[in-house]
Amino acid sequence: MAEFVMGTDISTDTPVIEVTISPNKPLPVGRQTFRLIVVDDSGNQSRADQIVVLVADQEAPTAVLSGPQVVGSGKSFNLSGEKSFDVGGGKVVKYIWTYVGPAIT
Amino acid sequence: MVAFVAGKPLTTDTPVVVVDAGLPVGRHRFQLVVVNAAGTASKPSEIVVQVQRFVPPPVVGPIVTGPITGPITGPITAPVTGPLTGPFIGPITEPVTGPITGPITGPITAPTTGPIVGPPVVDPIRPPGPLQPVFPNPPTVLAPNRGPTARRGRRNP
Repeated sequence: MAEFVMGTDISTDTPVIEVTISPNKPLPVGRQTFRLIVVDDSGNQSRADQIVVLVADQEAPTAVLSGPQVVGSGKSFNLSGEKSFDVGGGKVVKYIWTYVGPAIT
Repeated sequence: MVAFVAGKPLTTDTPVVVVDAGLPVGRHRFQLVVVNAAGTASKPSEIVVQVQRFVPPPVVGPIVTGPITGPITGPITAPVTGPLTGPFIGPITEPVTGPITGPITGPITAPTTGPIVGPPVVDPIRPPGPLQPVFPNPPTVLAPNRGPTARRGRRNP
């Protein structure tokens, strides 16, 4: 049982962890990324592996946007909303795309 | 093909759009909102796409983490840098060009085209000595004929 705080590491000596969700602070709807780094008995660290968990909206459809992480300059590329869904049984009928602009990191 | 303008939403009824080439090098943020048949809109989903001059080719094929136990069907093109510790049970198809110093324990199935320059091969079964002819179908030796025709030609005194 572990209550994750975004950007804060949690260390364990067991390979399984349960993500505890507080009713007062649920995970936001949409894509939530979790990352794992393992360390061997010599202290060597692995590269990070990560998964994306989709948190479904119970009252509205859930948008899931997919695309390449990296593209070559001068190349076109696809953006996909095919994984979007509606847990209420509704059907997604419209996709609204926005280029927000350059990302500031 | 869609040419996005920053901050201006585009609406489609299909789940895929193609973003035109032309974005400058750097990181670019995109958002998607979906709407269901009842008109309810989702919260936005967002990704960042990095445009860069050089894109490394994706890693293809499985990552090998243990010994290869199955047959190797293709040629090994990369040099082998580590020591080879396991037995090799597959056939060796390369021609042998150097001298063979160890004992040959298996049958030689391919024809040998060059001269054999090693010590003479001694057959342990056949004793040394002059070679004897071997007839695969030895002739039949008939016994002397004692019938009446054998006396033909001899006259009684």
